[in-house]
Amino acid sequence: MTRVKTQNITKRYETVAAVDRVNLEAEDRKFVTLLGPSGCGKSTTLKIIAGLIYPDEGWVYFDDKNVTELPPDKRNIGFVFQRIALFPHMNVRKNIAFGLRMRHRLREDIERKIKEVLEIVHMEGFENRMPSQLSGGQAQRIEIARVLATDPDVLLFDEPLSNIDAKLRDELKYEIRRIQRETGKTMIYVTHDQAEAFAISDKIYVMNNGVVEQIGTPVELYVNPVTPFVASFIGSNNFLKGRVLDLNPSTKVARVSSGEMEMRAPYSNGLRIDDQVLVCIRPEDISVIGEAERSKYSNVVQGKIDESVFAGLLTRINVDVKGITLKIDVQGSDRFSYLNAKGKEVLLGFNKCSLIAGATEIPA
Amino acid sequence: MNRRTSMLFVNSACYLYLIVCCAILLLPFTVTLIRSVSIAQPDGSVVFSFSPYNEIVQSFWPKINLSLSIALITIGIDTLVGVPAAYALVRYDFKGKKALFSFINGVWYVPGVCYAMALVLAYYFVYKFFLGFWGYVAAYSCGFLFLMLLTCMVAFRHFDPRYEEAARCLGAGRLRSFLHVILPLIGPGVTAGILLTFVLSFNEFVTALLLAGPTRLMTAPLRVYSDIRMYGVRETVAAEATVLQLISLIVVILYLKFVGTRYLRGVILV
Repeated sequence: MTRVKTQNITKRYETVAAVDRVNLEAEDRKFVTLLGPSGCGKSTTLKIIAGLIYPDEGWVYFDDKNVTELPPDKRNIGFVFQRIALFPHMNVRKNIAFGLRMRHRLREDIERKIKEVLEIVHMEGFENRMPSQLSGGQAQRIEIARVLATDPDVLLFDEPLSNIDAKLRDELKYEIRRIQRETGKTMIYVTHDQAEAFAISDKIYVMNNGVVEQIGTPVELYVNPVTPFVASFIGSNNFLKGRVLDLNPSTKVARVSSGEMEMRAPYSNGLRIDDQVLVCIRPEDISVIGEAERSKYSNVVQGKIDESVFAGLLTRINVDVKGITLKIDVQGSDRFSYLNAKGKEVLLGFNKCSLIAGATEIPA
Repeated sequence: MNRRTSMLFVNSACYLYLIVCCAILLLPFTVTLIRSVSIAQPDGSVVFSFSPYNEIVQSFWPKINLSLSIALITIGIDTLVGVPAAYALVRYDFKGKKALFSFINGVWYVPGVCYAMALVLAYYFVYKFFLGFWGYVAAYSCGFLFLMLLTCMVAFRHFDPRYEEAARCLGAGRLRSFLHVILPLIGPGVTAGILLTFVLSFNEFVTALLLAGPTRLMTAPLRVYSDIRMYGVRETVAAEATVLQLISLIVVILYLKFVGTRYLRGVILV
């Protein structure tokens, strides 16, 4: 199995850097995801790893071997494309056999391998179909089978589910995860869908404007975003501009003011009194509480409901707290209590919130 | 007029239009065919007979053979040069790309007779070894290269590079991904280029007229022209013209049936 590493890879188109000094490491047998909005450079990074794009600067390593100069056909990779790339003039059997024929495998080996990979993707009996006779999901499974057949060292997925309908997408993402676990291959997966990335990844690289903003597990990224972009891109957040009033080094809790609001939030080293910070509070971390529950929360504020929107699994309410609007997601059976609650006074409590030091602008 | 009657009227008009179009297209061929089998008798009567075809077999077949050979070699050269050139022109950006394309295309805008005269001057006075058979081949290969280039460029512009990328990632080198994936998928473009090159080089006449001057090597269309000038539109000359047209038609139909449609089938499935 193979460890993939990139070192300062950069690709510029005219003066714009599509990928800017990206350092990525995908450990052996791990599922690594590049997550970011359209045009952030994640697909370019993947194509550089595949050898389809040559970087202006930097190196790509498979284990300790520098493969930057190798063409894609010499890297032993499997690449699954965003749009189905099954050869339209070949049936499923010939498509799967293509990579094996290029490796001069014996006919019996090819037949055995076709059977084997079709079993893995649960597509037995489709050998003689033409790509045009397959649905989107079936074609994507065949494409995965085609790359698995060549037994690649690394599997690269470039938003393979983005053109598939929501239900099938949900099914296939777990299928891809299962295949990764069964085959034990190193996988690098590109997506703009954070739910997809969270469901299947061991490690996520969040990219924006060609650079990696944060690396972490799904939980780390969700709980402790380190840049305003990550905080706004992953999940939903309330952003408040704040100033550090006080620091408690023993408990690692900072007291922060935002307008007339005062909050307590955990901090990491490097923060000083009077520093400008961005306070991030997730709508699902704020609860509507009663007077008796005050003691359970480190931060309690009072406000008036401005608006409530029912969204099925939850009700989103906007509460005005001393001129600042906080978004709150109410789940469970309580969500029905706030459907017509405009103008109602409520007490809000939250324990979790994170601070982003040095950020002064609220992300769009 | 009710809806059903008006539909009937529109359909009839469409069919009539099609019949008129076909008649106009087929008229020259039909007239030539009728003339080739109508033999005027001394008493003024006309007898239908295929004897003119027997008369021309001996003398006209070598000319057909020559024209076919020239057309096939021209197709070979233009395919070998045109397909990779079209690929390069579509895929890669380089300095002077537009100028190069305009230069190759320029041949199309030069009047045929001027192009032929330039070739005669060049071949006869500069490259003397390029006379005769290879003179024709060189002239047609250069003259019709843009046809192959244009049709293949259109095909390459519609060809999604992800298929090539997929082939490369599956272990195929540049040449093998070209032969196994790109070429079958740009088939319609190459097919159109081959057909156009065949039809034009097989039937070309203006350049041949001037190039044949120094060597007297006559292609089939030139022979028809020369016979018309010498004997008028006799039945044997009409028979030659009919054979020329039939060969063009048969080759095109056979090519589309056995080669062209195979590629087209692959692409329709996209």
